[in-house]
Amino acid sequence: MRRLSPPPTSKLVIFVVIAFFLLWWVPFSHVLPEGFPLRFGTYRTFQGSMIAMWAIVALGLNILTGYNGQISLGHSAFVAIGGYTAAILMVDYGWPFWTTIIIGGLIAGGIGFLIGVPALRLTGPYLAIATLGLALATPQILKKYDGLTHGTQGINVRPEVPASPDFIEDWFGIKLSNDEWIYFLALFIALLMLVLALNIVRSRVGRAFVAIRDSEIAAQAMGISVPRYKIIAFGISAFYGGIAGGTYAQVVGYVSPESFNFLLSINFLTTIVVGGLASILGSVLGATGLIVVPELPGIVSFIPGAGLPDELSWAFYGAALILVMIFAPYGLAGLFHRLVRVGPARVAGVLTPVQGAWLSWRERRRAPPASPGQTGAGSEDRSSGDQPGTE
Amino acid sequence: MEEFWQQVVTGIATGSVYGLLALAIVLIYRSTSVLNFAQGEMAMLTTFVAWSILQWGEYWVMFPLVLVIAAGMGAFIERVIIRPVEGAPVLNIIIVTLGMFAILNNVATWRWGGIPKGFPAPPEIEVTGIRFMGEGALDIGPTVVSYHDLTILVFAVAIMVALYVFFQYTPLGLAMRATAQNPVASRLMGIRVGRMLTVGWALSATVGAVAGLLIAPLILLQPPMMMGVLLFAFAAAVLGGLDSPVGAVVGGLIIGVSENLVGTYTPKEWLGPDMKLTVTLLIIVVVLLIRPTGIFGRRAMRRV
Amino acid sequence: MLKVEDIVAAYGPIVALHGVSLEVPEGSIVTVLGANGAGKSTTLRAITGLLRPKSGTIEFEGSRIDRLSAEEIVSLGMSHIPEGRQLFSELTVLENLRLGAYSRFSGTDGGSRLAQREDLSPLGRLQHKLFHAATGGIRDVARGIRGYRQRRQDFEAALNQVFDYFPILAERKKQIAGTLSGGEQQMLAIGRGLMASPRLLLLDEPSMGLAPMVTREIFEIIRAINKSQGVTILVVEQNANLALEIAHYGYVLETGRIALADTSENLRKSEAVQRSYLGQ
Repeated sequence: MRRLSPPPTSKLVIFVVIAFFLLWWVPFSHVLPEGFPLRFGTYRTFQGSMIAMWAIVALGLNILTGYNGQISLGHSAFVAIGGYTAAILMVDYGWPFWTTIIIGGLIAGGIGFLIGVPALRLTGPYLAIATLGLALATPQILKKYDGLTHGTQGINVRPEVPASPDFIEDWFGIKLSNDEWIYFLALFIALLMLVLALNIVRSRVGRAFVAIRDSEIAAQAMGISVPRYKIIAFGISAFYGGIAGGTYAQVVGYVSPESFNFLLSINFLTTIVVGGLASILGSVLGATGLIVVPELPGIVSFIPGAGLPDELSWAFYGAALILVMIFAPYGLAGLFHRLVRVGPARVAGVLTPVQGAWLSWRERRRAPPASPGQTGAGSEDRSSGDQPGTE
Repeated sequence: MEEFWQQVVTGIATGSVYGLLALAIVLIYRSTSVLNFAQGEMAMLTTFVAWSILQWGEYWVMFPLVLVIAAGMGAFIERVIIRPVEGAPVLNIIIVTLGMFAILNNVATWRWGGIPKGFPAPPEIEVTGIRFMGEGALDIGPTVVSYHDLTILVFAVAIMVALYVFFQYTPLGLAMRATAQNPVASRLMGIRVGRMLTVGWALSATVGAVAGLLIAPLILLQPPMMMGVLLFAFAAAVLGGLDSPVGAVVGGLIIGVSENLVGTYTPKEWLGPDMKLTVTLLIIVVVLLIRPTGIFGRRAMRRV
Repeated sequence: MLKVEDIVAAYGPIVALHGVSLEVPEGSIVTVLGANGAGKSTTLRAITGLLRPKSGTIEFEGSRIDRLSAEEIVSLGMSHIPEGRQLFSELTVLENLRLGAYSRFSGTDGGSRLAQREDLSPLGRLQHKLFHAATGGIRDVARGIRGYRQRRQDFEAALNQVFDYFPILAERKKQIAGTLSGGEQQMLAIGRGLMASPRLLLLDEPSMGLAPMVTREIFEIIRAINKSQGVTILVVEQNANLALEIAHYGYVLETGRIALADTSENLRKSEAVQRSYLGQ
């Protein structure tokens, strides 16, 4: 199956459309008259910032879980470290915001390295539950040691969050509102981290991660130091969490122990599996999906007769998760790659994507059953044909 | 010293409930390598069903009825939701169970509301002059035990014995153990592997339902009630070893007791009751570092 | 007894069998020879329904079985002793043997399904399935109570027979299967297969990983099983010498196709076989 890449001109068109959407539509379309199709309110701009922050964590977690095969349910702890570091340094010590984000990332990364060492002993579900313990303990620790963390009441960062700096006005001649400025800030950080992630997974280090995930013994035989790279993966992943936490502090303007409870960690894992494991694109798609989907019942309810009762929105979200896993086992990224690859024929009415996904799913189920006692991180089966983005 | 025994006994009672739910988790994990995150919510939902039945029926009418409903629900979930992702990577199936978590929790809130409800303990029974269950407490020398705590203990032991007999001595139990180990060979023995998985989920849901019925009188009936219990149950299952039913129960007891002792006997200024969860989790992590597959777990075999 | 006609089977996109036909007459020992990857194990997997053939037919005792599931097929009276033995290595020897007799106790009634399932519309199949899901459990229980004593006796008889062939298994009844030696494990695998009192025994490379002495011993027992009990045997082997010694007929499989088929005497004399498989 050869991938039919779209012709260069259409690639350019797609690029321009996406750039326009991210750089103008999301932050500025609220200036359009009320009722303009697809007009975004300022709340959507805030959501855009949240997606950017969420994508940063997803990128980091995907490096650890998707590329390296270590499951972590503790990433809310790293986000909390980044968020609290930024908040404390800004509010109590008056540091400039951008230094606090970097320092938050570095501290989280350092702690990630340290946690990576004992994590070497654990695999699969044992590692998942042990890291879940980390996520559970975080709010308690934050509440208990209130000398540093301000305890249950949390820290209000809002007054310290920077307004749009002057150079923007000088260069572009527009004065950004706080929401708009924060959005661009979050987007900028996310893009930076995205480029970094692309470079990591395509580097020697990234290939070592994948080799270890697929078989530790084979990786070792190739001369890869398994413990070293597993710890590095943990450190990098935690660094991403820390950066995301610092971004979170700017975007939301408030951190509290309950902002970082264990459900956040579970949502992070959901993000990357739904988006697509071992896929950079998947991290971004997953982050978008996770922020947007819970809002869908509300959006859908504008269509007469299609509304779900609002109080069932969480059930809707759960059902969406299950359906994605059944019909797109490689996540949204897998679905996307499939569409790109087989798109023209399918769109021409031969098969709908859902049917296509279903057919190939059935085909795979007819393949020989997996060998017994398979308890790995769930990544063993991922080396088959339509695995995207491990290049 | 009295306080110590008091804490131990209460710890054993709550620990038994953790152990039961952990047992439910292990039953599913052993056959499918899946951590069922919806286990607690399944138990919560059946407890709500039990509450509804109690509006017009007796406790001991409700009890078997709820167990049957729970088994049906477990079987239904396996057939309809888990079967389509059978053979998918483990993480995908975990996400499916998280999806079920959301659905079950939401449906319960939608149907029964979020306001906590009281839930009765099993009523008193007298057998040959000895009183079982019901209200009140029993003085047993060094300490006082509530009847409900004793009930929990009795139920937990009874279920464990029943499961042991089932798995060890019945053809169906043997077939289920075989399926968990080697599905392909099991098919060649004429075992319907799919049906075994269904039975496994049904059994697990039933055990979970008992855990829900027993814990509800202690923590009030409400949609998020099993979340904390589930986390302790996970910890218990992992501590004992995810493939060991005995380990699940022992793990539950250890956690129940140590949670209480940590809460009582550590310095209040920087640990104490607020940090009992953290310290307990720390203990578990330390145990796991010494024995990476739990106390009773099989050593993971490395496949090349 | 077993008639395989023109079956094509594939693992995903990789076709492993390109139209294999073979026949196993009642009471005989038939061997299928071939190199690694020739499709020997795949042929057995297709026969017992572990791998559903894409096309072609398989008949067992006159009725088609190629659309049944593995569980149904094995309860019709054939045992498949798979490649690499596939023991329940954490269970005891006795438990493994009990599982071998499982189809006896569960009473999966392949025969009746066979008759009913032919030529049903999709909707009819669904109805049939639902009906069986509902009634199957009850029926199993009812049958379980009715014929319990009879089957208990059958079980004991089968167990004694297995212990007659393999006395070592009787000694090690309580031992965990994974701790047995390679030869003992193969004996247990065969014994487990015999517990269902099959009329057809499918053996996949019984010599794999065993010392020559042990292999010879096992082949002698296979011959004995065929002689004394009249069990028909289809054995897949790489060790052509030994296999042709005990077999009546042989097939040579090459890259998913039957290359040669003849009596084992003729095969032994054939130049091609001598060159490729007998190392002469």
